[in-house]
Formats: sequence, C-alpha cells, structure tokens
Amino acid sequence: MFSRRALLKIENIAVYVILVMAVSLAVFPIAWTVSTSFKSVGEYYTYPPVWIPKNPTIANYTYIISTAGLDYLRNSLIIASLNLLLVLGVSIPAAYGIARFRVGGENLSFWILSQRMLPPVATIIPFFLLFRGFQLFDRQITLLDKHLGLILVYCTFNIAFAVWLLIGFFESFPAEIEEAAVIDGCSRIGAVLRVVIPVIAPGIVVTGLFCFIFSWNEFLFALILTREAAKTVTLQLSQFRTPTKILWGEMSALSLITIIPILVIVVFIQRYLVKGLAFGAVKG
Amino acid sequence: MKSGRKKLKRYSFVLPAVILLIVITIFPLVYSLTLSFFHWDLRRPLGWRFAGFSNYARALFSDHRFHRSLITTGIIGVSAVLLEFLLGLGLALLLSRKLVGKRILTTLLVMPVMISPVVAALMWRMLYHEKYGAINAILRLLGFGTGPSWLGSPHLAPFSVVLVDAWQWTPLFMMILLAGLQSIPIEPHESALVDGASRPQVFWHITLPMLKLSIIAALLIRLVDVIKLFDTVFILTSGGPGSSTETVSYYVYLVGFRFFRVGYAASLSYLLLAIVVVIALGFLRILRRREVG
Repeated sequence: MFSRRALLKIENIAVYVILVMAVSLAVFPIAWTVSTSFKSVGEYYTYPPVWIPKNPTIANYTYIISTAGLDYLRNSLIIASLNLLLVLGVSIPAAYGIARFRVGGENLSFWILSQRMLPPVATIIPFFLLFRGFQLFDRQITLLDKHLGLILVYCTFNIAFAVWLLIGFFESFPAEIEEAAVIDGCSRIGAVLRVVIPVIAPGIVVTGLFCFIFSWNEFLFALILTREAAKTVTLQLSQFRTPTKILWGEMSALSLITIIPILVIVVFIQRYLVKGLAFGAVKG
Repeated sequence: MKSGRKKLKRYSFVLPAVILLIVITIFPLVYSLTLSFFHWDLRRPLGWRFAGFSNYARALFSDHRFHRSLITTGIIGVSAVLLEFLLGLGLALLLSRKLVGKRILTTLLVMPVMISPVVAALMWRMLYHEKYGAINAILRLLGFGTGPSWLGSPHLAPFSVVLVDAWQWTPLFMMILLAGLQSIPIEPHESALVDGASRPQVFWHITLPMLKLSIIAALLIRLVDVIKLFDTVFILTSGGPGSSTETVSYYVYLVGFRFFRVGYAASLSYLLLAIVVVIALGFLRILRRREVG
C-alpha cells in the first residue's frame, strides 16, 4: 500500500487538479471573449469555431473607439462617478452618526439596509412614470434620458450599501482617540475630519469602489430610463445586433473594455470582497 | 434643553441620507402602491380608473402566466442557489488547506463575481451558440455529436440560465464560506481527529455546524438576489423559448413596459415585494442574532 506521505502527496495533486479545472471554468468565458474580440466577421461566424484568430484584427476596437462605444463609456463614467460622490456625501455622516451615537437605534440602520433588498422592478414603474415629468410653459421638464435621473436612481441601492459598510469602518475606530482630540481643543467636526477620516480613508475608498462597480454594472434602470443621450455602456452592449445577426466581435471588444477596469479594482479590493458582498453579515 | 439640542445635532448627521432615501424610495413606492389600485393603460388616453382590489385579485387568482413565472423563478432560483452552494462549499474546503499559489487561484476564481451580469450573459450567449459556440465545439471534439440547442429548447433553456448564474455567483459562496472556515478555531478538529473521528465525521459534526451562520447568510443573500433575476434572462433568452425562462421580474417588466398596463404591473410588483420582505426579514433576524452572539 501507499505510505502516509505518498497518500498526502496524491491528495495534494488532486486538490490542485480540481482547483485548476475550476479556474479554467471561471476564466474560459473571458478568454473566449478576448479571442472573439480580435476576430473578423468571417472568423466569428465560422463552423467549426476558430479558437485563436488566424488573422487577428483590431478593427473591432477601432470601431468601438470611432463609433459605438466611447460616448456610452463616458456616460457610464459620469453617472457612476457622480453617484459615488453623492452617495459618499450623504453616507459618511450618516454612518458616523449611527456608529458613534446610535442615532435612530436599530430600526433606522435596518431600515437603511433593507433598501438594498428592494427589487428594482418594484421601483422602476414609479420612476419611469414620475421621470416623464411635466410641461412647464413650452418646456418639457423630464428626467428620462438624463444623467441626473440614473445618478439619483442608483442611490436606491448604493446608499444602503455604503452606510452599512461604513458603519463597520467607523466602529473599528476607537472612540477614545476621537474624544481625546475633542478634549485637546478640536471641535467635533474638526476631530472627525482631522483624526477619524484619515484613518478610515482606505475603508471609504473601498466603499466608493464598490458603489462605482454596482452603478457601472447596472442594467434594468438604464434600459427603461435612458435612450441615447444618457445611454450607459451595459445598455449599448445589449444592443449590438442588426436585424439578422449579433455583432459578436464588436460586442466582445466593448465587453472587455467594460470589465478591465472592474477586474483591476477587484484585485485591489479583494481583501474586502466578502465584507462588501455579504454586507458584513460574515466577518471577512 | 441642552440635551435636546445635542440630540438634534446628532440627528442632523443622518438627515441628508434619510431625506434622499425618502424622496427616491418611499415616495415612488407610495406612488406605485396607489397606482396598484387603479387601471392605467399607457396606450389609451383614459388615464387612471379606480380598480379597487381587482388588480390583486386577478394576479392572485386568474393570471396563470404570473403564477408560472413565480414557479419558473422558484425552479431556476433554487437550483442555481443550491448548485452554487455545493460547488462553493467544495471550493472553500479545498482553498482552506495550505496551498502554494492560493492567492492567485482565489483572485482568478472570484473574477466572475464583479463582472456585469449583462456582460456575463453576453459571453455565455456566444458560448451557447448552437453552431458557432465553443461549448458545442468542445462536445464535438470529445465525440458527443453535434450538441444540443442550449437556448432554443424549452427543456434546456432554464438549465442554461442556471449555469450562467452558477458561473457568476459560485465564487461568492466560496468567499463567504472560506471566510467562515478561516474564523473557525482549529482545536476542536484536531482533538476530534486524535480521538479517532474520521474526516467525514469531523466535517459533518464539527465544521458544518460551525459554518451554519455563514451558510444561512449566504443562502439568503443569494435568494433575495435570485428573485430579482432579470438581466441574465433578458440577454440570454428574453424569457423564451415560449415562456420557459420567464422569471417574475421579467414578467413584471413585460406587463409594465411592453403591454403598458402600469397599474397592473404596480400590483404585481407589490406582490413580488411582499415575497422579498419575507425573505429579507429572515435575513435581518439572522444578522441581529449574529450581532448579539
């Protein structure tokens, strides 16, 4: 029979084999998209499919840059960034108040958290009807197809998320240090701005990055509330089709441009992923 | 007097967030609750007509398409979450060992989680393509014949949706359970092993009970999300073929924005909201217990 050490070695190899298979499954769709993004029309409509393009072309990327991509990337960037600023602007004080003074007790913090669970289809109907706006003299006041509309709507899920995550960061900062600063002559606001915020800055950055990703990835609200002027990149991605076929190459190129910043962010915030995605329900 | 002012000052910290939330969630929800008691067809100039409870009665008792969409959501949702849980638990157990290169493996494994569901669904739509897709090409290479129509068959399409969801969200279970495993003290395991317990026994009687809260939290987070399943279905199948992948979120979207019966859609969305509230309350109770414990 095998010795104990040999068994252990076999077991380790098996573990690696399984993990490498899992990684391949996780990465394969992305790899296929990379490959497709360098194919010409002829090549992505070939039977049997071509694994690695024989005549790689960057035509799909130049098409995205010249015609069907940059505007929507810009819209997504504007909406996600301004939403992130608005969300942090109201969430940092709220989280501080809840963490330090228990303002509103448990009910307030759970009410805020519960916003995150709202199904978007429940709010999209009133949003659409209300955003159509009204006629003021000869002008139509509307939030449809406006950046501002989505910036506001994305607060529905991001504020809940940001407050919840930030409470944890504020709670991890010892109250005594803040009190010491107040006793030394700092005002309360001064103590928060000069002592607390610098220390938990990484937490604020992580929270902001999560909010950015959630807005960047959102689809349903963009589908209903934007047309062309404020169209986001996810909506554009869903529309890469002619009446007869889907423009796989162009779509793949824009998909990759869309996910590369996200994947870079993920590498930086990996330590916080569990905390962020599980709402602190699980200590990460 | 002074304490009153102090209290006011403290409340002013949360005021901006609360006001914003009231404007963007409470107000729209009240509006759509009102709307759910009216008939309003956007294509007709009639405007609001009082409906009483008839929208709700219709949804509960005679709209079979709505009922089917609930069942479809249940089937797709429960199978996806169970699959993700089992695969995620397996991966978490493997990753909780001492391994060289664990960091890079984990980083690669979690990539799908943060990708937009729209992009994920588009990638898989390419892979699923009956003729030009990679999956059937692999099946052909392995000698399985031409391969099925993944999105074209009403029997297979729900399964294909489940697979995409599992690809994207298994890493979430993996991460949550891995974090749970790493917070478990190691001594009970070791003493149990010394006392002659087999490894499956240790797993079943020690590891799993200690993971319980992580498991429940992860299951509930995903269950609430899966009820909202829309993007994946919209991109992959548009609810088809037939209505085999029509989830409840997708059906509400159809009623509101394709059939333009917004009053009825509002009442459907309130029923959906009720289901989410029930699950969410369970989730919050567990969170509270966690904080106490």
